[in-house]
Amino acid sequence: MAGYTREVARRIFAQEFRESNLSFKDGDDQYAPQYLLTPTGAKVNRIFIVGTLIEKEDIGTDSEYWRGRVTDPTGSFLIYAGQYQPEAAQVLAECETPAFVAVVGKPSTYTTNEGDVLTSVRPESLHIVDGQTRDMWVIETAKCTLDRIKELDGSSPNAQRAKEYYDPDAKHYSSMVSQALKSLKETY
Amino acid sequence: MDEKIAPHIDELTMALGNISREEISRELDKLLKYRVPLDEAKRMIKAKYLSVSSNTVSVKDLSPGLNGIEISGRIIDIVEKTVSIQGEQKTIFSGTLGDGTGICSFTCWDDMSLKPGDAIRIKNAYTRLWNNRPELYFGKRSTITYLQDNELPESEEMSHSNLKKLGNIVPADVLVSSVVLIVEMYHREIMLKGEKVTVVEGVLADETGKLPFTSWVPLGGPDIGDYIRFEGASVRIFRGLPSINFTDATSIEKISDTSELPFTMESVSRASSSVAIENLLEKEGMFDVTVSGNIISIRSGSGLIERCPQCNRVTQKSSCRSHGEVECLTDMRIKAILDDGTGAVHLILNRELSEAVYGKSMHDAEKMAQSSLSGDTVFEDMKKVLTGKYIAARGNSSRNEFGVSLVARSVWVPENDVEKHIEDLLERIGTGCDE
Repeated sequence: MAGYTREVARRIFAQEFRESNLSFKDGDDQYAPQYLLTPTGAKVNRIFIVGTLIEKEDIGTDSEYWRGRVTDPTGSFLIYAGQYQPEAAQVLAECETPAFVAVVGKPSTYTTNEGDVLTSVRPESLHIVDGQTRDMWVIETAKCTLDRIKELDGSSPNAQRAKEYYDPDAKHYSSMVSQALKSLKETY
Repeated sequence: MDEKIAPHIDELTMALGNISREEISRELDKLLKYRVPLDEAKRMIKAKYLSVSSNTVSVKDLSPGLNGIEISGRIIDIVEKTVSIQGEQKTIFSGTLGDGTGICSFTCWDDMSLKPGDAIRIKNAYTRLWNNRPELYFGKRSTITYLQDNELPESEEMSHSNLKKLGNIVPADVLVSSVVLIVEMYHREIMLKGEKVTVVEGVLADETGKLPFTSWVPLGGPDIGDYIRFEGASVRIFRGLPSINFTDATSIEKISDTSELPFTMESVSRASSSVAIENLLEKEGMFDVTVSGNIISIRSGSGLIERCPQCNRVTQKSSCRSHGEVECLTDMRIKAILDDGTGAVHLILNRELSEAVYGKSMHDAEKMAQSSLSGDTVFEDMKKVLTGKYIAARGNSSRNEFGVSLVARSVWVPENDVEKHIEDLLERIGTGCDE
């Protein structure tokens, strides 16, 4: 009974997500879960995003393969949904843009020939939500990010590893958070 | 063949340190004989022994389902039992073990000539759920070393009932004492061995939390709103949640001078603020907690369901697993995953609460289901309406094989003053920069 705990859905802003490129597995078992470590030390196996879907395009050749772009106040996430994400693909196919959407998904990384790492999200689910849910997400994500920035000086293994690998500038990320909050404030 | 695997045995012996070469070689041989690929076999052996070599637990931290743990304690009592396992008579030894942090019962599968009072360290033991508590198991695959007698408290000391705050009571406590406030209380008649008995049930509180209680003896004076000191109450565990039981052996005393106590009726009945879900995941169960987060998934089994009219179980295709073909009653429920960024729990909502968050009555849902061809209409609609929503829920949590569940007693959309949140957070960033 001690064995199974569901992976937490982390709250990450688009900018931080885009600046992440360290993915690894816990353990050497082929079924060990895959993680993405972000510059502020979030160890992400599942991500929860609420933002605005501003673009969508079916880029598949023979079967449907949807690419969507979801923005938050700091940047945008790329979402890819194909035949193995039928629910998300269906919503993408049917919805209008722009729309507020809640996405639960897995982070995935792709390394280009030039060696750049691109991050994207493979959605488990994608649903239309209201503006208030989106605003609350920005608040919650700001809170989670600030907590992680504070933890960077702590002794948690994720923070240690993030510091070692990214050498993150705490100011850079706290000004990202403050920018997000200020842009939200303007709408009120 | 042997020469080929010798370097791998060396490598494993190095990596595992305290495990003998012979043992590793024997394990590896066995796996290879069964045609397990070498790399996979090595990985398995590493995983098996690494978990054994480092995992010291104290009694209060035991939870069901641990493997390869190391634990020290004193045998408080031990008896020999004969059981039949798959038709074969076998002698096992069971008793209780304590270490100053708590007491647990154990079963030893083999005769290891243990006596009451022995102070021992057990390597490679495991735990399973037995009588609603984590039970310690060990046998000839475990290593037992004897400790100095003075390394552990005496048996009498350990079985003594400890003065504790409600929030700190764990399954390892068998007897407890505490100072609490009675916040709820009612009488209930139950059948006990064919006899009608009146028991008193209710809820106790202090500044660390609330717990349910049952009194098997008349309480006499104390009533709702009274502060009491009790000693020697027994702790029972149901779904990981402790409950306090007053028996003949419990002494209860009403407290008149309450000015020194750090809690009042007012402070304990205030709706508790939300706790981070990660705190729920650490415990076997929590009584009356509030959490808030986003619904990130609606699980199958949500929507309209059918129940057996006799036992209230959910039926599959009008067939109950203990009453067969039955005339089912329709019900509605929601099983959701609530995630707050620190952890995730299964949130279970009954019909009334489901109607409130879903915004449609069961009657509406039934109409919707009838006018469509698919049986999943309501479930699909729930997903659409609820996924992503930010809600708060209050109820009891408990751990099961799928993680932690919270059965909600109430659920609501938290009042969110976005502007205030923004100001608070900006201020936090501001002060952070000044440092």
